[in-house]
Amino acid sequence: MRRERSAPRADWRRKCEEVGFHFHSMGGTYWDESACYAFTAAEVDKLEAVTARLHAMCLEACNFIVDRKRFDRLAIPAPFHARVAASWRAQEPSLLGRFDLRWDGVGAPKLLEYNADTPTALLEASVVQWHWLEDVHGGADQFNSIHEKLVARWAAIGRTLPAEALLHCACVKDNEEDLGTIEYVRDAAIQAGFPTVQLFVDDIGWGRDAEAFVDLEGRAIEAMFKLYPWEWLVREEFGAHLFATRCRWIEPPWKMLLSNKALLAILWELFPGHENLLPAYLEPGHIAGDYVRKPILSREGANIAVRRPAGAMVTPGTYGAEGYVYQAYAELPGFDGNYAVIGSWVIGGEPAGIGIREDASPITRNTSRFVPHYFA
Amino acid sequence: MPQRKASLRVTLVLIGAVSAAGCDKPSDQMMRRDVYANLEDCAKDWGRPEACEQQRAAATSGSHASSGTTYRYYGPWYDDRGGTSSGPRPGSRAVDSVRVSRGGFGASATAHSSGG
Repeated sequence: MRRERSAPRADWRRKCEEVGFHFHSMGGTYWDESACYAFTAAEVDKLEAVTARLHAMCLEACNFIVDRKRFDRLAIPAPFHARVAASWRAQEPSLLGRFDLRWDGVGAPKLLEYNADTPTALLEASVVQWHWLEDVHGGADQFNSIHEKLVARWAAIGRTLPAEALLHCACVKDNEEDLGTIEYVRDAAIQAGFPTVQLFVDDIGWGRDAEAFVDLEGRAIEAMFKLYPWEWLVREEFGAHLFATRCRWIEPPWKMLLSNKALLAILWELFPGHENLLPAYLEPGHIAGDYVRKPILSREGANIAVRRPAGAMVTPGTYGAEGYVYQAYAELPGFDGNYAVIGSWVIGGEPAGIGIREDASPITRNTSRFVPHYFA
Repeated sequence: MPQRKASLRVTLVLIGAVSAAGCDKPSDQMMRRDVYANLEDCAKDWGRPEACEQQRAAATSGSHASSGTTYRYYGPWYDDRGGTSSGPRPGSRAVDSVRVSRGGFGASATAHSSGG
């Protein structure tokens, strides 16, 4: 794994926008093809195998949490425990997730967290870097079959739904990144045969007579892909209605078991010393060396506190009310002064590809640059 | 020859050609619209057929494959704050009505992206 300088394509902005990637410059520079990462085939094989292994371990963790009723440790509200357990036992189908891994090509990749519910950086990983590969390294390969697997997975999910079920795809208003992500997910669903409707979360209605969530036209929502975290849904006004309907949620409710950083401590409890895990606990005091404190429910690198002898490093934010996980600190590898994290995608339970984010800070944030990759 | 790990083809069918779902309808209140079995009844109630919208009735069973489709016709939305009845308005030709409240999701998003 090495970082290379790369000449940006003269028309990279137009090419990005042609595939719906309009947020390529959010925060200044977001999509950054002035550099790229090069891997060997063996390194990619390793990332693929580790991703599959970690996902399998996470599924074991789901069994453990449900069997031992550890929902409180994940701050899942009591009224939802039974529904989450039922969702898991029914194996309601999942679409996607993304592991964040710490790796520099040497030794074992380490799991930093699992974005199992509302992962972003999808369009750029699946489509934008694929086109970059075609234009810049046409003879090389890329660990990226995300698009093919997304379409295939949507087709498989469709076979579990009623005939001609409309798929609603919802995200928040006024967020270009979220809208771009969800429109890409919807694109893949259309290619898999779904009729679809785009909807903003704020516009979801509760049909009082039908006792169903409805769209802006009053149609009952039968299947919903939401780019909106479960931990927010269950705590909002309509949360009480969530499981009173037949709506199929994608991601399913059982993803609440994984999209929670308390998972890191549970994995360490189940697989102590595993080479792809970092020691992690739900209470302070267990880690002798440097550690990082993360809110169990948080996103975008908010409220992260790194404790080490050289001094603490803390990011601002409004998360942490539900508790923290304490994880041994493994600083992201630096490449030419850039800290890189590998986002490894799981589509339909299978490893599907990677996207790499860079930042001048060792804490990855929402606007950390996306840098493409290839392997040969 | 190792199997290629990049998608063979990446084709998009939607992006660039879409706009957000209709944003002209009010949120945060109770709304109602009447449901008709046919366009004629709807048009008579509202005085103009263009006020009526055809929608596919929700499917209830079967596979994802196409099957027979039934349609209903919906009159325009109207404010129903304070309304309590669950059926269509008295004297209406409607066979049903739908009452909807909105604004119960989205409060947590304030200044955050929902992704991670």
